[in-house]
Amino acid sequence: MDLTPFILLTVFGLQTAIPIAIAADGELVTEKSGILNIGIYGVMVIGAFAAAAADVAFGRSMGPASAYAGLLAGMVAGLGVNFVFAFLATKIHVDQVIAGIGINIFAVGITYVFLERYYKIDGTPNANTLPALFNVGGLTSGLTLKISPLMAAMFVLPVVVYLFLGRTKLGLHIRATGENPKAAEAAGIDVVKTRLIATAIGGALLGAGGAYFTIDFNPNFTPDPTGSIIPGFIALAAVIAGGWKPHYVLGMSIVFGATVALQYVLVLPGALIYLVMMLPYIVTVAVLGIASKSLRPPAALGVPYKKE
Amino acid sequence: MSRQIGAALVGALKSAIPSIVALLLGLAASSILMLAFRLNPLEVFGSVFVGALGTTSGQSLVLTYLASYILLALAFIVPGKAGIWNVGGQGQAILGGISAALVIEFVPLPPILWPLAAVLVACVVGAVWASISGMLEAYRNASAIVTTIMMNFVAQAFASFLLLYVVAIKSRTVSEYNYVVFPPAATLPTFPFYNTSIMFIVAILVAIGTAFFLSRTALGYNIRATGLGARPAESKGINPRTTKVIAMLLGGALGGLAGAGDVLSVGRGCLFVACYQEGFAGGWFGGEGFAGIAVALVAANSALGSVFSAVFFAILASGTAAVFQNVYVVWATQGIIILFMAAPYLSRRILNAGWRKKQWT
Repeated sequence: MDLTPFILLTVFGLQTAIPIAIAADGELVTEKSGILNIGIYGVMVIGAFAAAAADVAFGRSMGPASAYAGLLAGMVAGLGVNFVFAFLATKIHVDQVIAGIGINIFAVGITYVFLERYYKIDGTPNANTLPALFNVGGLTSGLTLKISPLMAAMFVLPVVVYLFLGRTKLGLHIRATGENPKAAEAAGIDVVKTRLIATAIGGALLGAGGAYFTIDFNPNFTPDPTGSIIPGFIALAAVIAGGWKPHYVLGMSIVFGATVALQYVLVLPGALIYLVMMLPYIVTVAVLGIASKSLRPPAALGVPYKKE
Repeated sequence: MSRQIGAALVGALKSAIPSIVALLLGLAASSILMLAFRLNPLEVFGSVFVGALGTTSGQSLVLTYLASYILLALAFIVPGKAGIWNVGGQGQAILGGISAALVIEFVPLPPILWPLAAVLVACVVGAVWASISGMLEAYRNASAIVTTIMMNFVAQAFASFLLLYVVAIKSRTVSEYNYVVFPPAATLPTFPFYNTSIMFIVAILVAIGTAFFLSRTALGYNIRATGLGARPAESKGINPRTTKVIAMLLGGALGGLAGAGDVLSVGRGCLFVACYQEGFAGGWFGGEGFAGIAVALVAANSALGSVFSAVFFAILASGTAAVFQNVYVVWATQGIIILFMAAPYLSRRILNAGWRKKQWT
């Protein structure tokens, strides 16, 4: 039996899952504090652009290590955008869904403006990519699976997020804020501050997920860097379908990543590939429909908190 | 009667003041952004307005966008009045559009009946599609915000599948322009002197009808009562779940109607890849469904007000398309405006501060 399609699916599926899983972890931390950010895609695009720009800028002076500078820049940019979002959501009580839509549109516009102004509209110049931790070679005809630091992060992060939310004081505060902000406030927790911190942490992870596209998967930033993956909404889907639990969220991210990767692996006649592309979203709607009574979203998710 | 309409208009304008302030704040913030990039905001907005209103083709585009924007704003407003978030106008329009196109392709009918049947089918498909999310929210507690977003992607992919499948079974080679033009008998009537259909008039009439429906009919009352809370609605003998689903059915029908307009209008009157994608983007990054939400927000969820705010957004979109300049800055501007739209609290606070000052002096 020819195992090639399965190997291809595993390799492409894992690679596609990286940005989805990392962003989903970021969104998970954010949502646990009661903030719903559907502008994941926008934050990721800005993170991707910042990463590419830093990668190019430091390419001369730092050599191959500039990719790490790019990763850092992506995380800082994501943190910044999400912090502004959290500020709007907690201090000015913006409608989080609408603001998320705004971020998605703004992010694409602003990165294109930067591209047009400082680079070429078809993309930033090629720069370094993250070096592989190790390569898994000899899988099938010449294909190697690059285990990049971000792929390692994909598997380590859920553990970290689990411990952070479950075992640290800040994590406890975040969960309390997301479940019942009034009670949290009564217990002496600063709800606004906690939500700002949680959203900022989430933003750094969204930025890292976006950076994957420009310092790992590709060596540069091109318009529409994420292509047909649309990782923002799939990450949102993974958080919901994973029931706000880090290990399930990772599982769903990999399942969704593999679903998206099917289009690179299956040689389907013509239009059928679009039917495959519907799957992650159908799965999410089905999970919501079937399991919504047993899913436990943070009780105060998306509800602005106003002190009395 | 005319006095009633006048009073309704004044009411709509008054309730829209906070969002107009937010709009101005958004424009101001965008101007600062433009200045940061050494662009002259007056020049950018000037070129947009000249591009949209200076030529017949620009004006035609304004009218074409106007139809979609009004209908998609209504698709957001009607379920919104019942307290249910329809972020799925995009998907409903896409499926409505594609099913209208399928009727034209496969069911030849006499001239006037043909587009009518296509429009009707589009409305039904949009309604059924939206009702899935409606039922999931009403009976399964699954947030419609999330399900409608997810259903947008399903609709997009499914429509792409149908599109290519139709190309295949009709064994048509897609032309270099990637579209096939419909026979004139199948498309909507042209509006005289402009390269657009009468769809925008239909949309304005539908907006007036929706305002009447929401404020003057029993069902409209039920919808608004449900939006104010499930418990109070139940105490008035209204079933909030059924009402939510009905509101979503109506919203979906409006979305489907918008999609049919996109596909069956002159200048669009065509099926297939390039044309189809351009149609549903509607001059708005992320799709015209999201433009509809922005329109509804500026109109403060008033059905009549959405006509006026749709004019503004249609000019913005058409002007950008016409001048091909500073497109990306205008995209960023669209995002900033939506961000400010999300903050009614902010503009209300600014307005209140103004009020207090007035009282003091």
